[in-house]
Amino acid sequence: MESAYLHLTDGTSLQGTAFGYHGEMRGEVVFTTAMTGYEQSLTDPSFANQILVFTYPLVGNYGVAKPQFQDKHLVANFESEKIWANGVVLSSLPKSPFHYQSVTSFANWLTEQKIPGIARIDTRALTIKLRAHGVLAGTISRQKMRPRSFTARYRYTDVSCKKNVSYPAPKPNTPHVALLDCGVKHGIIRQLLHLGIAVTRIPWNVNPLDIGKFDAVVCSNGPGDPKNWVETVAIIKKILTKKIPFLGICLGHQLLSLAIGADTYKLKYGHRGVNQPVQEEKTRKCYITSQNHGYAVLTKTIPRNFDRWFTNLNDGTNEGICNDRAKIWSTQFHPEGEPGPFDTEWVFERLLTA
Amino acid sequence: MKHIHKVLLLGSGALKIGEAGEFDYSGSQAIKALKEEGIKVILVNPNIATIQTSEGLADEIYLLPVTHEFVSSVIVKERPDGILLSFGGQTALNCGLELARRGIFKKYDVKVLGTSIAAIEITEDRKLFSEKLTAQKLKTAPGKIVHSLAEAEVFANSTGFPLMLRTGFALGGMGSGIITGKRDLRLRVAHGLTLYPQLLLEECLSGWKEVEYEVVRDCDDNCITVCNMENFDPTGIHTGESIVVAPSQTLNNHEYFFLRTIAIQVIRAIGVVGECNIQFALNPDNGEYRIIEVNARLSRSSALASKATGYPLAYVAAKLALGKRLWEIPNSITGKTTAFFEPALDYIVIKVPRWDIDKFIRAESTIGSEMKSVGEVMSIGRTFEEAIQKASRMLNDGYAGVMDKNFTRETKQQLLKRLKTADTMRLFTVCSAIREGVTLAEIHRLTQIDHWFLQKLENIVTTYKQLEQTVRLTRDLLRTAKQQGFSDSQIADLTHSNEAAVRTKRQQLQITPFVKCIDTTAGEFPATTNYLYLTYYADESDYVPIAGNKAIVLGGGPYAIGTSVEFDWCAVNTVMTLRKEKIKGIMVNCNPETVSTDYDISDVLYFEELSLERVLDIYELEQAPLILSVGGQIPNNLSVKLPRSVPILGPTRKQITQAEDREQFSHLLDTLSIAQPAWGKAATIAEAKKLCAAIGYPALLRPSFVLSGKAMRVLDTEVQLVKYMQYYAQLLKTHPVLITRFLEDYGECDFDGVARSGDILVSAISEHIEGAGVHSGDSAMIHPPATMTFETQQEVSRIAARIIKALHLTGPFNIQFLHNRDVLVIECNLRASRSFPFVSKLDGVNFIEVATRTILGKKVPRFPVPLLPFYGVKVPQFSHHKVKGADPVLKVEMNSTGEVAALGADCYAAYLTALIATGFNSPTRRAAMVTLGGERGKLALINSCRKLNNLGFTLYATSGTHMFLKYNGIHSEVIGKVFEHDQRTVINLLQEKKIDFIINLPERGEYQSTSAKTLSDGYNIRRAAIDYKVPVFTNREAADFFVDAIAKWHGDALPQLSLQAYKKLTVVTKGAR
Repeated sequence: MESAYLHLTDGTSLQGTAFGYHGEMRGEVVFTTAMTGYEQSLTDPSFANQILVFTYPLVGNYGVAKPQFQDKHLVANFESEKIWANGVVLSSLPKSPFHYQSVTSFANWLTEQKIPGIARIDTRALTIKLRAHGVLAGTISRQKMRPRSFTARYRYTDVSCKKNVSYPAPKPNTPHVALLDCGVKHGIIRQLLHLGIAVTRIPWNVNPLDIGKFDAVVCSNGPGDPKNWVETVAIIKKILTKKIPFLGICLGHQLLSLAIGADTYKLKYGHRGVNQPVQEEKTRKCYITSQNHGYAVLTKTIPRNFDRWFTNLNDGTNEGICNDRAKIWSTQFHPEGEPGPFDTEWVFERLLTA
Repeated sequence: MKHIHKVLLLGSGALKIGEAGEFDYSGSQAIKALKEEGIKVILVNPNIATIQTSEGLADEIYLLPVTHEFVSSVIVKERPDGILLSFGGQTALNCGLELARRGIFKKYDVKVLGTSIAAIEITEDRKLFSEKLTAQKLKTAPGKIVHSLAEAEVFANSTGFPLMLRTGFALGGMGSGIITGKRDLRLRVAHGLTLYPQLLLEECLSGWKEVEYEVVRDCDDNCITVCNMENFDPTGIHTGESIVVAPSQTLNNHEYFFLRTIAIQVIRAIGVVGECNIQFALNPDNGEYRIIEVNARLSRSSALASKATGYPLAYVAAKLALGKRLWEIPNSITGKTTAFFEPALDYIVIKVPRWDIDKFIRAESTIGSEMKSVGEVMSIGRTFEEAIQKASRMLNDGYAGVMDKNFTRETKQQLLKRLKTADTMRLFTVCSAIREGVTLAEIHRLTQIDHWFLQKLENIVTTYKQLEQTVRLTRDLLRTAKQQGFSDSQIADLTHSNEAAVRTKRQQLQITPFVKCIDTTAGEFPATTNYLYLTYYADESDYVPIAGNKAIVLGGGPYAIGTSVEFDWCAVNTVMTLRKEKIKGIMVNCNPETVSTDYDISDVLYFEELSLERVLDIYELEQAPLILSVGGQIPNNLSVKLPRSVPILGPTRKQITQAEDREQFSHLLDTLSIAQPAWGKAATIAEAKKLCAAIGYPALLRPSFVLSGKAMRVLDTEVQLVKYMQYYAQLLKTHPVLITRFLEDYGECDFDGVARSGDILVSAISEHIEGAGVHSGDSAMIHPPATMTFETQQEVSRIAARIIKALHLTGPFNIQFLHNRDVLVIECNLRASRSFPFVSKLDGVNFIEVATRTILGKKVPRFPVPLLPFYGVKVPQFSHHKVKGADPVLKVEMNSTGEVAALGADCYAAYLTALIATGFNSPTRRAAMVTLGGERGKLALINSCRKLNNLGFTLYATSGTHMFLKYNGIHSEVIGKVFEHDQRTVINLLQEKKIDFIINLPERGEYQSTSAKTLSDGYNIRRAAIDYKVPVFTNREAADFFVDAIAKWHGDALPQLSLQAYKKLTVVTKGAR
């Protein structure tokens, strides 16, 4: 078994066993506490430029399924066409899987997708380090020597589609939404289509109002610091002046918040997992949600005309805002789940009331 | 909503197969949750060995049967505002449903807290259940009871094939099996209907994965799933009989969350408020699912889930029952977050059932849809291999790991045959088969166990073979072995070394275990509690040993026959006393059904093996002294194995050896001129003959080659002796048999106490109802003694004082005595005993608290023997009805799975009440059957038969007994034995519910027969009685006592005071001890 190393920017290096792609890759090292859903997590574009540590020690058990395309540009069982994470850190080495849907092993999938992995790392110790220290950058390498220079794999906007993609609704005369793609998880598109909503997915820097008439606009999730997405925030500001119903998800929630004058900040180690509890402020109802974000909206900066829709029950951070009269909603969590629970799918139904 | 000030909580009674210690844990947590809210708690639970019936928990404790009659009387007396039904297992749930049916709650305005009666009824009624869920488009497994072939065909047409055919239980379920097609259906159903009046046809889920979810819902409809679990064995093996892993391992993300969504739909559809367990079958080939069952109460699985995740389900469920919302309850592990979240695990948990089939005469070791296991262990690791190996050792059943030399003697053919029928050895059979070269595909075909599990076991077998073949143990191999959970002792065994040498080598190579914390959030939030496990699959510990004065307490390990909740009571009370004395308590235990493994009980909890190796690891980390004398036999046995450098609090190694080594103890008694039954050791026939000739027959033979004591026998003649010695000749050469004079017509008593420097500080005598020859764990006990003379009691106390003085003991102890005109000592254990909670609760002195404080060197006063104005009677609970074929006869080997106790102003009323608590019905039919084997048996019971006659009982007797009774002027009616045709037999009596009980006094030769083929009439009668749930007495003293009890009892109310009320009657005398 060949050795691999995880070199962290705090000067420490962890030795483990190499698997997956034979190459060096750098990224922000973050952890997820989800116990299943590695296919969904790794194909989530929000993980672009990040190295993902799985806290669950037995990953890869059920192998990797064949991506099923329900449309040329829509995968039914993954969150995008490829792995977006830059690397994977595991406790034990995944072995040959057994599941009726599996077509390849986790390790082979990583190799095919040119993603390096490192196993036999004490992932709990690493997680506690990240919790205490905050996220760190790191490099997965088969070299014991620490790498000297790094280049980011992706520009943050690489995750977006390059041109418009339309997904017709199964039935005619249905609502039609524009989806601002900042790295959309396909689960969001699937949910909208499932509700009978037609979707036009447009690049991050295109104002939907310039290309047609839509019943609502949805802004997707995506990677990195929301403050990088200056152009998208400007577009959202324009949309809001037109009084068109709007739904923001994850990054989309942060961009909406920036557009209405609120501020965002970086969390020490983010929320990544499928067990994040949120509470709806008005009803006191609670939901378990799927989350993947490193930044959050600063609650006290949310303008008066917006309600604090949801709050995280673990740490009190903001999990969504809304202005029901103006038909503007956003959630920090992923109501589409994938990986994770579907308890908040109903959020998408708000668009039907629009 | 009505304000709740006073709540009645129902317990589950005695530990029995299917209902064990997990309900002490649930109930104790519920009491804690209620007390925090300032609510007065009334508890009905006759299980005196539990923690929930301890002082300082419930406000009023009723040691009464959990039946509607007794609970109604408590309701009338206490007038509670609310009642909790979901913390006492099926016993409490059934009792609650009965009370509701009788309108008791309505009449006395008692609110059912948590899940409503209507919701419980849905989960308990198969038809309602199926209708309710089908209406929500949820899938249940269709099933139908059919009485004709036509009915069966209609059903089969609606469902398709294959189908599962189930027949009745009473005749051994003959004819059950899978039906593949129409022709098969016609043949099998037609045949089945000739044997049984009705048959059950069900959709066949054979080979489907079995998955469980623990779901919680509050009154605002907020729902979470705390944990999911996957069975190692596919559907068809009861989840209590299966190895279970948490979280699920082979489900993909879609399946995991799909079933989670269904689980939440189910809990909403039923309307549970609190906790429920939902069992699913999942087709491994296409992801189809079926809802098998919903338990709308705390369960064995919920206790396991609580321990597996750190989420206190019972505590939370109790708060929810009071109307709290999940988000209003804090997460006690992190101290920061709330109870509304789903735990994330960063480890794997494995539960393995503990069976004790060998202890039952004539029981089969196959496993299936009925539960037979008596306990379980839970292990935690960061790989499956590590956890399963740990678990196999935690069982304390002699396994060194999943591969064990002693269990690998079978050939490939034998193994293949065994794989086809699941039995209690399944895990070990699978591993042996892998070693013998059977392919995983073949094993999967035969067992339907998922490849993922088989592959992991194969990894272990591979390493095992490497260890066997290795010439020099390399660091890599040693590390791999440790990471796969191999023990030092097994590595030593395989590499021709010894345990200590492997340990030293390992430590030199810096291969040591690390400590990890269970925090419910996979490291996302820090834990404020120290709930720990050890793993080799790590690079660092995230726990720093606590500072200050501390002590390590070893718990009792898995529940099995002989080790039960009483030792958990002892361990928990020890830790509680330590904490009262400002000493930090560190608990080590591996049984998820216990209170001791609740992380709230101790300062530090290691959910770990009680092996020498692991205890040393923990000692080396913590550097604290050990307490080994409160957790029963497992920790006690460690005391002589631990190196001298390890400090032990309590009885010393020397004292323990002196008391427990047969020869040393015998010598001690001789020097003190204390009488004991004659005994000796023999390895050959000649030696045995000579010995028995000297000490006389009957003789009790106790071999040293089996752990379970399976081959223990009482022999009456030299012919039997020779036969026995010949049968075991090979084994006896190296393991001589211990032969003791078996004294009949002697009474037996237990002497429990605590001493300081040889001086007894507190003590209690409990008198057995059954005489010598019945294991003390199977005997009913009366405290204070009711029929022993004052002189005998004094003599017993004097002898005990002399033994303890001679041992110069500091700590707890138990001595067993035989008494007739003289007093003899049978054995002496320098540890807390099974009867400690019983005598502590009756006498009002916590023996464990005294013991703990004494061994800590604290000043403890001497406690006078109280003069109790009441009696407590403790009776054993048997689970024979759960173990198909098991012979219920009482004998020298223990068979009971639990116990209950009741109190009363006279011991007969208390005895009757306690018997009712184990499932007896009060004898209202005024009819009994007697069948007495041999001249002795017949003569012995003549008085009782006459009494029954005089009481107006109709006596039924088998022909021989009838003749004898007639000759003695006692009227009886002749009744046929089980297989006597042409006349009414005992089966008719049982079926027609004509009799209250059976007295069957068998001769020894009858039930001890080693040839299992010939089933005696006596056995058939006893077994039929068990199958028809009619009490059967097989012991003369117990039968006499019972007859006396019903003679004295005239149908008036049995005692109904609470333990506290009895205590107020207690007068303490200052008499000298």
